[in-house]
Amino acid sequence: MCHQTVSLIARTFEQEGTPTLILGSALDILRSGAAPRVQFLNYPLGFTAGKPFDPENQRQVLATAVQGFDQMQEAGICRMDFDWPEGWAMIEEREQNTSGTDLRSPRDTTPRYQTEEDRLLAESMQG
Amino acid sequence: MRSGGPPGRYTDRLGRAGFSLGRAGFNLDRAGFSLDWQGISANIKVGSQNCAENNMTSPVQYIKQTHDLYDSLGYPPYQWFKADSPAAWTELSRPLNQSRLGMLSTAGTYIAGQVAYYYKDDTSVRKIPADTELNKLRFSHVTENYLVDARKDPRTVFPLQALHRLQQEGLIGSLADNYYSCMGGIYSQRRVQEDLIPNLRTAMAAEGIDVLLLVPL
Repeated sequence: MCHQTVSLIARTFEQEGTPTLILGSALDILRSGAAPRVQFLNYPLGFTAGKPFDPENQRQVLATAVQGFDQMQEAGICRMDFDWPEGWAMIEEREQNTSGTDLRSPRDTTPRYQTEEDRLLAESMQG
Repeated sequence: MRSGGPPGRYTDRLGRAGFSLGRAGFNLDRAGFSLDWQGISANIKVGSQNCAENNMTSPVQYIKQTHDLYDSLGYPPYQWFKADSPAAWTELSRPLNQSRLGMLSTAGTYIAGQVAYYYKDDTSVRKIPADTELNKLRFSHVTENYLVDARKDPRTVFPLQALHRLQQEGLIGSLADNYYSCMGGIYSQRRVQEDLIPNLRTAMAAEGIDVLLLVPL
């Protein structure tokens, strides 16, 4: 859903005068969304800014992506030259036990904290 | 399709069917094609750009996957946004190395102490100062299974450190004082247009950015 949301945002901001660029990993959704500048990184979802604990890869991914601002001359999707078979294998193994199930969390209006500590901290700061 | 390996049908480890033409042949997917003959790749345009292609893992078809999953669970199909007009285009007024870059993450990023996101079409926005310490970043998103690694290394979805490096190296002129985030898992396209986008516009108005990088989860 994120890739659809950023496509809508990018299209609007571009129309209103701000050049935009999406660094994303869901090619079919991005094609449907037709944002102005899209750099497609063929990594699993959840790694769109690069491999975890690999700052050199993260830097390379971002450097390649943002160069699209200068290099892209018209609307389209550029496929970035990165591949990560180990990442796909890792995800496949992780999801072996959950295929065919709806993995989304319940949708209501309760804020969902990453940790209980966050919740307590936020509630204390709300006064 | 792919090249390399014996010719004929195959099923890859993600269960996707394909067809190999053997040593030479095409990689064909919806993004375009590349021709690989004995390791020499041709640069093929994807959309309107010249981008190098090679024998890569085939892109996952998320729309089809979601459709099949919803179908198997008895949900109605989701109506994805399909653009019915070409995108508008705004030229950069100066090169990237003279521009101020802003960043929006839709991974549901917040800082410890801020209120987290909720999952039923939350259209709120958080301000994340560009010098926030990595260990203060948190995430809440309706697809929590995609946050497993981000919660260990936030940089994998929130490129705060990489952008800082690129600015230091001179690739990017300057960075916004603050980045922004929202919970991109909003199923109502109307709420994105009518609530989220105005919220973002207001929140980001004072940042003075020249260009905006968007990073979805």
